[in-house]
Amino acid sequence: MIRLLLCGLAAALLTAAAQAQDVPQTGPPVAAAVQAVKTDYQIAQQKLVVRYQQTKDEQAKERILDEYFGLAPAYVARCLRLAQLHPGEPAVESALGWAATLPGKGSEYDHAAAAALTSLVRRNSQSPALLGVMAQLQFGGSPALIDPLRVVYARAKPNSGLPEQAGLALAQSLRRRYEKEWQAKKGSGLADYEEAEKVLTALAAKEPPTGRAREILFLLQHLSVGKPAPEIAAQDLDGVSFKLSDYRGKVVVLDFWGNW
Amino acid sequence: MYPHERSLVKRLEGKPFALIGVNSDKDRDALKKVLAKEQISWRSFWNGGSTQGPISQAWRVRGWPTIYVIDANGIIRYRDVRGRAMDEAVDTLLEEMRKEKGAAGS
Repeated sequence: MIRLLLCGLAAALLTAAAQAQDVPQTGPPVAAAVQAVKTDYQIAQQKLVVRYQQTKDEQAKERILDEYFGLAPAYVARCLRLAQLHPGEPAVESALGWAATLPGKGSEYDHAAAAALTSLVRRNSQSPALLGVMAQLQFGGSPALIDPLRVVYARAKPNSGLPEQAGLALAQSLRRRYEKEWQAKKGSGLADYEEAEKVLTALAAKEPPTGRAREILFLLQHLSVGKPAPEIAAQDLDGVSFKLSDYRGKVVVLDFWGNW
Repeated sequence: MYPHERSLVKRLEGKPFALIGVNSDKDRDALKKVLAKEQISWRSFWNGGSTQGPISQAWRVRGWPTIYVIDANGIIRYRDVRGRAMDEAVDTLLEEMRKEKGAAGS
């Protein structure tokens, strides 16, 4: 049923894409071409989700996940091409923003996401599309995005909401790179750590105590790679008290889980 | 999730390794049936019956599952690792321990 529906959708979109290519100048056709890229991506994504749900084998599931996280670069490339063909089209800005926030993993993905964000920022460092992009990136944190994020953070106009959102996204990317550096060599990555701390401290001073900058600052300072794990002292499921530090001397996987 | 964690725990039996859960289910008794059915042998902290419980709040957890890998000295070494990446993280730390022990012994 789902497959049938998807086939119908694909056919409709191919038509939309073909029409868009016939008239490449301005207005709705560009928006339609952008929409075609997005819908093609969603179809590809949905196919993988269905395959994942139908697969029992753990290793096969992992391979499908790899495929899922490898989808983005091809669609980013299509957005970049549209951006080249139609400079000055507002629809292109939203496409680049969408492309920069697709899920993915690996160096090819990092490169693609950075290219999309860089292209958007060069086009318009105050683009309305950036606000949504920044709001999403503060939950991610790809180190490849640090350079364009620094530009957005530095140039964002006050009172637009953009400096705050860009600062959070930048801090998350810096935190990730600090962690990667620390993992490669214990104790390294301090320049990135300190830059993230500085950005977050400045933002925290201007927000309420429950604000997001304060939360990310706490995560950076207490729950990042290289930091001592905060102690946990509580009961187990049988009501017997124990502590996380009881397991010193062992490698521990701490898994926040629930049966849902 | 369970099959992967089960196989990790089984593979590392006898090694200096522990999988520790922080469980946020509502009902402890209902959960115990799940433990038996899914053969979940590892120990879990009780988060007070809620995803808003004291442990997940202290650790600022916003998504489930959230994973941290902690070394033998209690230092956070990896976070957000799943599947293969989780296994690789644990193996790396166990190997590091083995080497350090070897170096201290010689």
